[in-house]
Amino acid sequence: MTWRDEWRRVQAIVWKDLTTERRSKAGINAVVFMGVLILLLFGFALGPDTEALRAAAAGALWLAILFSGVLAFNRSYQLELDGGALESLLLYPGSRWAIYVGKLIANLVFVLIVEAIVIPVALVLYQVALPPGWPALIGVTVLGTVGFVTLGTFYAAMSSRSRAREVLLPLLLFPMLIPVLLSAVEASTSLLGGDPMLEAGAWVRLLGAFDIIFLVASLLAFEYVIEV
Amino acid sequence: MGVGTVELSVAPARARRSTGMLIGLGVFLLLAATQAYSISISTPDRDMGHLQKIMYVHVPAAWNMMIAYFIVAIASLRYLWKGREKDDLLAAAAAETGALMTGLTLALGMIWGKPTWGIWWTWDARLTSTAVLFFIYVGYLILRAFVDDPDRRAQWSAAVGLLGALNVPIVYMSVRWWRTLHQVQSSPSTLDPNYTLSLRINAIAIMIVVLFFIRHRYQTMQLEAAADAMHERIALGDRGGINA
Amino acid sequence: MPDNMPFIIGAFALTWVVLLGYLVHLYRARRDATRRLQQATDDLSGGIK
Repeated sequence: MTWRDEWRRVQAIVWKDLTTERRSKAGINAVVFMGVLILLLFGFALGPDTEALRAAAAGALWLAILFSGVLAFNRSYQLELDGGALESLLLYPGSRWAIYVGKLIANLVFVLIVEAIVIPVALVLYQVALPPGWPALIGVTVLGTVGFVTLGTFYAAMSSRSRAREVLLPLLLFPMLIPVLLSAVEASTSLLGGDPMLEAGAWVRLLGAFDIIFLVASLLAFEYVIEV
Repeated sequence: MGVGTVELSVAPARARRSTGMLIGLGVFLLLAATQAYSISISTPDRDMGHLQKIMYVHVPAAWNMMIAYFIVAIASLRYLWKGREKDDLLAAAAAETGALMTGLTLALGMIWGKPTWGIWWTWDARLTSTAVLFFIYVGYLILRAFVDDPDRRAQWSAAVGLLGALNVPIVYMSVRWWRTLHQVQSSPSTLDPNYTLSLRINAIAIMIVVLFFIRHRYQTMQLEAAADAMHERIALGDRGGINA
Repeated sequence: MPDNMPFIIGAFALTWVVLLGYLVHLYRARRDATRRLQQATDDLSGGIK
C-alpha cells in the first residue's frame, strides 16, 4: 500500500467518524454540558473566593476537559463495534496505523470543538481575564489536547472492547496523562498570569516532547492491541 | 499448546509442595535474621534517632519495586516480540509482586515521613512517581482481570505494561521540574554511610523474597494456563481416552 | 524527641504482615490451580484411572 492510499484511508476514517458524530449531535452536546457541569462543580468545591478560583482556574479547566473528554473516546470505537465493522475494517489490507491516526484526528476535532465552548465558560466562571499574548494559550491548549487524545484513542481501543469500559479507560489513561496534565496546567497558569518569570516556554517545549513520545509509542503499540 | 509437561502423580507433587514450603520458610528466616542483625548493629542516627531503621524496609522495598518493574517491562517487550506465553505469565507474576512492593514502599515512606516531617504526604518526585507506578501496576492487573481471552489478555497487557513503564521516568522528570520551579524544598538525603551495609543486606534479603514470590506465582500461572487449556479441550468435546 | 517507637514497630509489622499475607495468597493460589488441573486431567481421561 502506498502512502497516498494510507492517507486516503485515514481521511475516510476521519470523515466517517466525524459525520456519524455530527448526525448524532447529542454526542457533542452531552460532552459539552458535562464539561461545563464539571466546571460548575469545581467552582462549588473551590470557591467562592475569587482569588482561590482564579489561581485554580487552569487546573479545574483541564480536569473538566479530561473528565468530559474521556466520554468521547470509547464512543469512537463503539460505532464499529456495534455493527461488527471492526473485523471488516481489519480485513482490508493496509496498516493499522491508518485506523489509529484516523480515529485520533476525529477525536481531536471533537475535543477541540468541545473546548471551544468550555474554555470561554471557564474564563467567565472563574473570572479570569485574558492576558496579552493570549494566542499562546491556544497553542498550549492544542498541544495538551493532542497529548490527551493521542493516549485516549490508544487506550480506548482496548477499553471499548472489554467489560467495565467506563472505569477501565480512566483507570488506564489518567496515570499516563499526568505529565501532559502537569505541563499544560503549568504553562496555562503562567500564561494567564502574564508569565512574569518566562517559565511557560519550558513547559510548552516539555509538552511538545511528551506529545511526540506518546504519539510514537501509541502508534507502535496500536497494531498489537487492535489485531487481537 | 506450549505448556510443557506437568507431572500430576500425587507423590512427587507432595514432595514438591514440602520443598516449596521449606524454601519459603528459609527465605523468610533469612529476612528475619537480616533485619535482626541490622537492627542490632545500628546506632541511633544523629538527626533521626531510631527512625533511621525504617529505611531498612523502605529502601529495599523501593529497590525491589524497581526490579519487578524491569521484569514487567522486559517480559512485556519479549512477549510482543516473540509471542511466547511464558513471557506474558512472567510479566503478570512480576506485576503482582511489583504492585505489592510499590504499595509497601508508599506506606513505609509515609510512616517514615510523618514523624520526620510531621506530614503523611509530600509532593516530591520520588513519592509521587511511586504513587503513579502503583496505579500503573494496579491498572495492569485490573485489565488482566477484565479480559478473559488469553491471547488478547497477553497482547493488551504487554502493550499497557510497556507504555506504563515508559511513563514512569517521564512522570519523575516532570515532577522534579515542577517542584524546582515552585522552589519547594527537596527531600533531605538521609543516608549515613554507616548504614549502607545494612541497607544492602536487607535489600538482598528482600530481593530473594521477591524473586521467590515471582517464581512461585509464575509457576502457579503456568498450572492455571494448563488447566484452562484442558478445560477448553473438554468444552470442545474432547473427552480424552486412549486416542487423545 | 517524641516517641517514634510506634512508627518503627508499625513499619516492621506492616512489612511482615504484607509479605506473609502475600505468601498465604500464593500458597492458596497454588493449591487451587493444582486442584483445577487435577480436575481437568481427570475429566479429560474420561474417568479411566
